[in-house]
Amino acid sequence: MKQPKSISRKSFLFKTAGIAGGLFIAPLYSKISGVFSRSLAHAASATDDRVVIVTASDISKESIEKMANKAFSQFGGINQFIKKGMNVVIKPNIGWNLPPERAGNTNPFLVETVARLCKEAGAKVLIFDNPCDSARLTYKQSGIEEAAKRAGAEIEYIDDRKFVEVKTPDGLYLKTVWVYKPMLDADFVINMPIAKHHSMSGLTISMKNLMGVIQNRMYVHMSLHSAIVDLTKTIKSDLVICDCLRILTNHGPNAGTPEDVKETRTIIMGRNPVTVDAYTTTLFGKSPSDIEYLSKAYKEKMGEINPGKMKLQKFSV
Amino acid sequence: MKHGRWSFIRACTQLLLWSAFIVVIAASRDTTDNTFFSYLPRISPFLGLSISLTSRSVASIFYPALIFLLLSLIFGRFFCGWICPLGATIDCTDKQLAKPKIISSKKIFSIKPWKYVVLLIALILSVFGIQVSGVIDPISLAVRSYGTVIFSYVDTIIKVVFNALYYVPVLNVLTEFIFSFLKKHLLDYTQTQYYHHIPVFVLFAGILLFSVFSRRFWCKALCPLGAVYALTGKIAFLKRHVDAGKCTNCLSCEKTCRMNAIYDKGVSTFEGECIKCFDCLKACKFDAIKFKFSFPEIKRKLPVPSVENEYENIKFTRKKLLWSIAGSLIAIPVFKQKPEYKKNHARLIRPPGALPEQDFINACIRCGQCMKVCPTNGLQPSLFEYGADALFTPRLIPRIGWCEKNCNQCSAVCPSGALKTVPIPQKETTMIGTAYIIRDLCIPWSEYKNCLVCEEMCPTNKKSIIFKEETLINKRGQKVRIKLPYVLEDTCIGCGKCEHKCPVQGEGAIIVRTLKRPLQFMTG
Repeated sequence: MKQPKSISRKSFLFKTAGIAGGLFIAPLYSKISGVFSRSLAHAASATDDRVVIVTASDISKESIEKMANKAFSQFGGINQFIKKGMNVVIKPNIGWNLPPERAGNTNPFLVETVARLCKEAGAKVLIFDNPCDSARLTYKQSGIEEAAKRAGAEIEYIDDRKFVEVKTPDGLYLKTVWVYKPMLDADFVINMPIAKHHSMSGLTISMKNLMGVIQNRMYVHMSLHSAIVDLTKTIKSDLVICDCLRILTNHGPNAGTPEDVKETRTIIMGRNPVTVDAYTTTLFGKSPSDIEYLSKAYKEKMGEINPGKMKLQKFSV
Repeated sequence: MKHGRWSFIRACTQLLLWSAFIVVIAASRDTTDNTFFSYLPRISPFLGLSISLTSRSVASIFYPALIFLLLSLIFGRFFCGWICPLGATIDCTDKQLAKPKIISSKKIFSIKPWKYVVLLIALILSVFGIQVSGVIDPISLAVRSYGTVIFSYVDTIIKVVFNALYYVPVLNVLTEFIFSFLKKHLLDYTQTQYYHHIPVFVLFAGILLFSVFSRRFWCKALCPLGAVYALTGKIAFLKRHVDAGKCTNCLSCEKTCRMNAIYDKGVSTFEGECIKCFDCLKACKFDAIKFKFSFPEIKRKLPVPSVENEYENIKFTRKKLLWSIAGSLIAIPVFKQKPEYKKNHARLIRPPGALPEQDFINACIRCGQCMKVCPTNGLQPSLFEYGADALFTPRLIPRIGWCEKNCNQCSAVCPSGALKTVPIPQKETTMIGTAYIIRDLCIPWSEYKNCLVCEEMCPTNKKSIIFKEETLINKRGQKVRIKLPYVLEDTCIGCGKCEHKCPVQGEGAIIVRTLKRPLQFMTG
């Protein structure tokens, strides 16, 4: 009688262990051979340094939608940027466990509007930030978790395993920085900060917003301005939409009283974070050269910071 | 045999309620209003009694316990077999663990009264203002063990396994899909870890391991809540009756009884021990057993034993009473010997809404719900650092997690009122401590470099950490402009965010200590 071909328990275990071991070692090998090491292109290229400023009479949901549409139309519509099937990352500021009225986080309706426009253009949208407060409460309190759900966008909590080391091109302070991988993998990154007072850096706008995608951010505070310039160089922002619907003029970034919140009812859009940030400072009655990281960025030729020399396009809806 | 369905119904109910218990704990990770969670430990009359004795008033907050106490007057000690989450856990594990030959069933009878000793010691200590009932109360213990240790252990196991698989190509597509599903619906948002998880776990595992001696050893011999229900069970309406005509004294019911409540060759029952699991109904082949409602006989005499002194030891003798008094006398100094510095320890930061320290310790039932719901994991159980009577009470360790702004979950879930609910607008100004800068460690003060992370993080309105920009001469003699941080003591609430985020490794260069003086002397 013919014996059926069988595998003994011992050999089964050995074979399984062998395959598992191989699979474990494979990524190690690829790491050694440099497949995963990255060096990104100079991100803040000044190809299009227009700054579009749209103001409205109020900050209702409808007005926000109108403002966003108006701003996008100046760049030839959202389809100019986003093609079907693209992976889009929206990086709002979801830093603090504060409701929208306290101007701690990006306006949820603005996030919703932009995410919806991207979805309509056929993209996959991912929204995340690395909050300073409890992530779960901050996502809820800011209203952005809800907004993302309404727009059909995906929202995720920061996953510690997904940070990858990236070399900073001629960094002023940082040599390498650990960046959240989905940010680097995205086809299109929309940087959506809220303009706020910030004690250490002066103002926190789109360049400072990039601090939310790096690991161990408190260690860069020793040379914050240089670090912000390095991050802007390293991490691309394809589009900057700055939420100046409500701005925080004092006790920033998180401890503003209702008196510190000013309704400026504006959104500012541009492709170069440096120029957008430089223009935004004027809303606070400051000059861009007051902000050290902007002067440093100007010295590094990352963009124009003098509002007089910018290509400004102002609208109101 | 036909009554086997009652045993099945009981097992199903027990499983269902245990699952509900797990779901309530698991759901507490997500809901922003966890008030329902606060009802859980209030079903224990033992805790209610103990808190009432300590506070010298009727702890009306424990009204759910009264419902169960009244029910137990009808159905006897059903709570232990049908509802108790710890009992359910023990039932799951004890069949595998039990080594019945270690203790003979006769010995078990003699061990049973010790639970009254435990109960009596706990109550005597409560009278003297020492509240340790929560440590051994089964409901509180189950909530604490599951909520803090078991859940975070399961969390860790899942995370470690899936993190290892994350680096395996091909396979990780599948595992990450499962992992993201688990993270979305089951796991905590932040990895919860507890500083003193091992003592909590050892106590829990120890109670399960007692089953080595005999099934449900904890319930038979030590559980103080079981003792309360054993007392009410003795006079309950629902009783086990054996039809002497049908009974063949085959002992199959006596052998199957997990509580050793049957004696006298299967004929008689210790009603206080019977947890109404109805296993004996299932085991009886002759249909001799019936559970019937009948009026309690208060002065019921025990039937004449067939074997002399077999169950004589189950009585709570005078000797046991002396043991309880001696035990509580020994316990008094153990819990009361407490140097002043332990009471006002600099690093003992209680959650917002806590009663004054001694009242807090007396009212806290150590259920650990506040630690479970804390979104930053900052609330941690203490061990003996602040006195033995503060065992497993919550305290904030800012280096692990800070007290989150716009969150009052710890006080919302507190079942005993040890933490008074603080409305969110008031919470922003509720002081639990004060931050102090250690200038020798602080980067701007000692290294003459800018940092200001603490200032940035400070969540109080208008900031309680401010900075002054000064020109200083650094260690090499160069002039530098530095922003130096200062704490405003009168507005700092001690939330510990600055301490948590301080980039100085180890203990941090800014630490939160208890208030310098009692709160009423802080303002004005």
